[in-house]
Amino acid sequence: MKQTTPSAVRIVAAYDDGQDARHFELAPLSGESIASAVEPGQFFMLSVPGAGEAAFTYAAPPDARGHVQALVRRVGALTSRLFELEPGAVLGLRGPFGRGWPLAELRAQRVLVIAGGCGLAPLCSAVDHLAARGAGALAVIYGARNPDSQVLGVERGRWSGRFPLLETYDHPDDPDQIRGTPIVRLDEACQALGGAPEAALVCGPELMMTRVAAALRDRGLGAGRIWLSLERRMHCGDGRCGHCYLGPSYVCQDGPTYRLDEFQRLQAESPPRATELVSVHHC
Amino acid sequence: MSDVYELTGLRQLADHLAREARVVAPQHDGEHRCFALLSEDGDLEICREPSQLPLAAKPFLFAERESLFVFDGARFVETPAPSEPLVLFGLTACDLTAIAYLDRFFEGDPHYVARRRAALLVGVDCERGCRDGFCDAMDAGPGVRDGSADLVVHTAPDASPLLFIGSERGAAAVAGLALEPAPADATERRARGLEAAEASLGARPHIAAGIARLDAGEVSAELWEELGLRCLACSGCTTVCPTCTCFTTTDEPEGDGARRLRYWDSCLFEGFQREASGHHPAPTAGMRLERFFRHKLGEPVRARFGRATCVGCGRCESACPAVLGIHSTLGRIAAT
Amino acid sequence: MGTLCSVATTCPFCGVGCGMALRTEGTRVVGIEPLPRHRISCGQLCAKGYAAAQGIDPRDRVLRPLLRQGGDFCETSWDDALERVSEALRDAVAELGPAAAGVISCARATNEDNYAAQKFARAVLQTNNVDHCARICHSPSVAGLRQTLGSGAMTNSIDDIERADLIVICGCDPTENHSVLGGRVMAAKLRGARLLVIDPRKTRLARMADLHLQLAPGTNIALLNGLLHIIFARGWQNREFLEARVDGVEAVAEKVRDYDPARVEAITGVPATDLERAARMYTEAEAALLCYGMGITQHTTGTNNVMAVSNLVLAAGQIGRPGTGINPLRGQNNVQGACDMGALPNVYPGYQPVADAAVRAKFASAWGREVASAPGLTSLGMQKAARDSAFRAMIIMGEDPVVTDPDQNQVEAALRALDTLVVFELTLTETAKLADVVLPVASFAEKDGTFTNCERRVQRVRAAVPPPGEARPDWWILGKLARRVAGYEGMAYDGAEAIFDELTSLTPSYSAMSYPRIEQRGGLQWPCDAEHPDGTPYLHAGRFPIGRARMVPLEHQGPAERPDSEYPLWLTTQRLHYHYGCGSMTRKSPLLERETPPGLLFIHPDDAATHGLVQGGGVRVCSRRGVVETRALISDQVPPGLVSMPYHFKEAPSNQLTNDAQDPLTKMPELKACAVRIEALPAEVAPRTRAELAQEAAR
Ligand SMILES: Cc1cc2nc3c(=O)[nH]c(=O)nc-3n(C[C@H](O)[C@H](O)[C@H](O)COP(=O)(O)OP(=O)(O)OC[C@H]3O[C@@H](n4cnc5c(N)ncnc54)[C@H](O)[C@@H]3O)c2cc1C
Ligand code: SF4
Ligand code: SF4
Ligand code: SF4
Ligand code: FES
Repeated sequence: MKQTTPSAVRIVAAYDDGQDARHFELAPLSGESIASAVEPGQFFMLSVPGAGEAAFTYAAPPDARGHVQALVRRVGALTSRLFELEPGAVLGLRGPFGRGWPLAELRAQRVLVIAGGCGLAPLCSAVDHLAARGAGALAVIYGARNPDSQVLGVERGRWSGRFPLLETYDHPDDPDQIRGTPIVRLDEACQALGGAPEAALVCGPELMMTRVAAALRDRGLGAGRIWLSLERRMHCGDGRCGHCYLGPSYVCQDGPTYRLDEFQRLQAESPPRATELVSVHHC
Repeated sequence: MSDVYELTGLRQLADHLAREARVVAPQHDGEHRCFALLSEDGDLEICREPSQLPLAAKPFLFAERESLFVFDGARFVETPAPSEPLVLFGLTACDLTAIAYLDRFFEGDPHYVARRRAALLVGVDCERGCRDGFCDAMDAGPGVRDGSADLVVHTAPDASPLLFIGSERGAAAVAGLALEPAPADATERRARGLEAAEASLGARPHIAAGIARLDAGEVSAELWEELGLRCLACSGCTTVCPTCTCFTTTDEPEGDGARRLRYWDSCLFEGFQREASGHHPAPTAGMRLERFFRHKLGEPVRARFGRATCVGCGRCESACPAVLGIHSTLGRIAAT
Repeated sequence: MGTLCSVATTCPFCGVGCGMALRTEGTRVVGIEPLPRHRISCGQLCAKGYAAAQGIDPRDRVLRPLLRQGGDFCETSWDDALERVSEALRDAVAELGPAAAGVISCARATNEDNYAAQKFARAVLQTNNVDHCARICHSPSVAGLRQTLGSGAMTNSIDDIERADLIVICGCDPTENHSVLGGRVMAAKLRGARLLVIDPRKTRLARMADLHLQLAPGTNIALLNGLLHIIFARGWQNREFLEARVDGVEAVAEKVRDYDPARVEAITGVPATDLERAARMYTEAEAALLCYGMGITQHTTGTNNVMAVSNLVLAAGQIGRPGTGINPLRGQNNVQGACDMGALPNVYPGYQPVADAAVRAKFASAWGREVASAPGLTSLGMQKAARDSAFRAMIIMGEDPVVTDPDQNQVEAALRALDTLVVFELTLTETAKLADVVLPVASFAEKDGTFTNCERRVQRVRAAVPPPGEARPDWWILGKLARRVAGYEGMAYDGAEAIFDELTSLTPSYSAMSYPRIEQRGGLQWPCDAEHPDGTPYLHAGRFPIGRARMVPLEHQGPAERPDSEYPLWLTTQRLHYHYGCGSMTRKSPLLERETPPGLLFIHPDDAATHGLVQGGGVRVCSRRGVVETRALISDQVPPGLVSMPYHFKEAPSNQLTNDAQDPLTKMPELKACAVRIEALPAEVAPRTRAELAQEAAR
């Protein structure tokens, strides 16, 4: 049977980690079990009692004690409630769900990781994994609105010096910082990798991902070598509630990571509309 | 299973089943018909016009409002679905095909599975086509499909009803009921009856033609938007569709904790896919309407589930205030 | 059939009166089923109907009588609560006379409740201070059409939409607010009927229409006079009909001579050629059915607007036949019934005038008690009297004037000025929060009774579950109060049917109705009397209730407030499909609540660009009366220069902004046109709710 009732976890630590973002460490209550085999890129459903349930990615897979890390951006009702909670508060957790990044395929390849905003969270443990490989180069481009809104400060600190980490900003604070989307540093990243990437993992707002994917395709990377991690509204996480549909696919089950060619095939079912057709007839 | 018997009447079967379980069958109260608990003195009148029984028996398996668990302040405790035995009596072939699909879709959903395990399905063949039905085109009727019911009743105007045993569970349920073995030609009689029923279903060329155009990608975004303008997002189509499964969840405060509930939802609602960030994968009514029809009929969905998720019951045609039901929309698509 | 766990009843959300069944599990309504054989809805419902189960969910319900204790409420017994209310009512009357107390009845409550409310006011309190919220929807219809035709109700039936070859939709959007009826209009259009829409907004039907006259706000009379000008100038009027059945034709023909197409185009912005086409379409149609809504009534010229529509209908003779008529689409499920039941200061049930001594005598003798003779106050009148300390005690039955009335600050001031405010409610609405006593009432799913829909059809409401806690039907409460306040036993009914039987005996237009007959016939449309035992699908067939109809010459007069340099935009108000009234029921549905983010300002792309607004961005809206903050919805539904706000949301109540200037006759406030100024909020600054803004102002 699918798990529909969450396991109880409690917040053991929480700290601000970027503007409107907070880093949470969650631990199972005694007597509760949570799955420990988690692939980077998979997600869990977090219940905040009274506020509902939402999907969050494992910023780090459960450690030996079963502690789970999550990076949460405050955007609405549930996340606002979560931000008010203190360590000790009890939450519910179900998971892992979905398909993670295809790390087994990338064992010795030159991999470019591109993240926008909170899109760094689903890539975080993949980056740790890729950095720990014996072989294969790795470069990361991370775009954020401005320096204050960068997330996962501790993790980025840990990475520094181990592989090229190129940052971009929509609104830089000082002239040394590079303005623009991650695309503006693509060529630099390729150089840093020591050659054109053999695979790319991308996560961020959907529009940003499609633009980055197009830029990668322009540089010769095949659609079968680019992976995206999608966001959709989710209410179950395991293929029942129907909210996360992408054509005939359910993002919670078949995704959230899709290979670009798969994504494009699925999206062809209902391609985004030209804006002049979007008459918002709301109500 | 091929045992066949003759019944003196439907009531004989219903009363027998009622000894072991609650029986839910079509009931009527004046103008109002619905599936409801059969009482000892209630009339049992089979209704084989799906549009007259808008919700079919779906709520008895996939409840419109289901409590999933409660949080008592410290732990999350599952609230199981009721599991007392229940007989769903008088289901038509299309609705049984829908349940077979639900079984597959909700595999592993503890609440659905608990309700479903408790339910014995008694089907009835249709004697003739109904107003909006096109079950033949969707491989879902008019005769009850093998394996979709535990017991199947076949009626004909001037003959006693025949009872076909559809599963071991069905056989066990009628054990102890004094049944007459059916005449030797029972199976043939049924086949002839179903042939006549199928012949009486009107030709609906727009169904196949519409699906073909949908699959060929020949329906323009402009047409979807023109149709979508009419959609009131009332959720009627998805409420009455026997294969719609979408739900949303909410938390209701309770004591020191909360209760998680799920409710039927509808992909026609604007908020169905809107994300907290404001990103919306299906921002227009036309896209959402297209979603509905592709999800019911489209090739990729057929490939995923082994059949179309539309069973041809025709309910959405009469439930839609905006004339966007399956006949209206496929008719329009076929004619463009 | 007691075991049916599904009970057929009538939808409580709008005047269409769709049939729905409530599916129950134990004492809880868990789901809604449409009724395929229902006369009106034929197996359809709108989103509100499907969500009704959540709207009445016992969660958040008031379960026991509540008494104010300082800033809080505490629960008490019925005995105690009734005693306190009775005492307060007796005190108010003893001190200042019967004029110091009154009842605001409810257009959502049943006919039986409304009948009980007016009876309580007139026989027990001895006052005609009884009213309900038709004041803010359709009192101008009642006032206007009673003058011109003799009856303020929809003249024809919903079924008639199928019989019309032209449908005219004027100042309303039935696909949003009367959705199932709107669906009928769309279906008729698809089958070949023509559609003419008159509305400042590009509504859904306007997008589908053969012709859309997109007039400037508040220019209805000019437009309608313009059409009449063309009709008379071209001789397109229905001469035969006018001669046989209408007075006052000449004076109108004379008056509209000033409204030549060029002048009307200048006032309304509608091209003269379109005016001509519209006049031709309407007069040429075999059967033209006209519906209008609050775009006509919610103006300082509301009553005149209604009479202007009536002039047009009469001139073309599009009335008194199947598929024609003048059809005010009434908002709330039972606003028609509340009016029929005399929950109005000037009429008894069946519109029998209070001013008529014979009528008063009839009721006094039937009720076995003296009745009030002094004229009563409207709800706004009671509020004003309260602010002037001439009015002390008010009972409000399930209305939320704090959210829905035109001027929120004035309403609050009035309610706070009362000695005693008693509110009958399901939940603690904004109004209930100001009460001294809150009495828990049964919802529509928990009581028997009848609603009268917009086409005058009286339909059954049936209890599916018992009321939660100690909630009771409104009529039960009033019966208990009658005994305590005045020792009057004439309201101690043993059930809703007993009330219905009493009211049919006193209401001529309901006289041949009974519960069994209503059930047999799928509802009965009044007049339903000895002459029309099966009801009346369309009115005015051979004659008008006033004999000959009257055309009334009218002059265009713009809205009381117009945009100027300080407040440069028009603001109008609207409703949304998903919500109903103040939203106290519909907003409990997680699905409906999700559909509409709190508060919205509809604004044209050009105006949005001028003001630097982005889709969904915060915006501050100011008028001479108040400020609200909400979010922008950029859409070409509104033309440049006009912004529009729904009024369902207490976080961003449009009545902080709207003008309380009134229609002189009916006191209908001008909700459909006032002047505002807008400012975009900085990105990432969330709009503040009314409560937050108020706190800020206090600081
Ligand atoms: C696979 C996946 C992984 C995610 N990982 C992260 C992460 O690591 N960190 C992070 O900050 N955010 C993540 N999100 C987004 C996060 O789920 C939403 O921001 C969150 O649901 C917003 O909830 P809310 O109640 O605050 O917002 P509201 O707007 O109040 O949303 C109400 C409800 O809608 C649903 N909902 C709304 N938007 C989304 C959405 N985008 N995705 C899923 N459900 C939604 C949820 O059930 C939510 O409770 C992820 C989303 C998905 C699909
Ligand atoms: S899509 Fe329509 S016809 Fe098909 S199964 Fe659903 S309700 Fe029936
Ligand atoms: S049609 Fe829509 S509501 Fe129905 S199951 Fe499919 S996605 Fe869900
Ligand atoms: S029934 Fe029709 S109007 Fe209602 S949601 Fe479905 S398509 Fe839209
Ligand atoms: S989240 Fe429920 S189906 Fe994907």
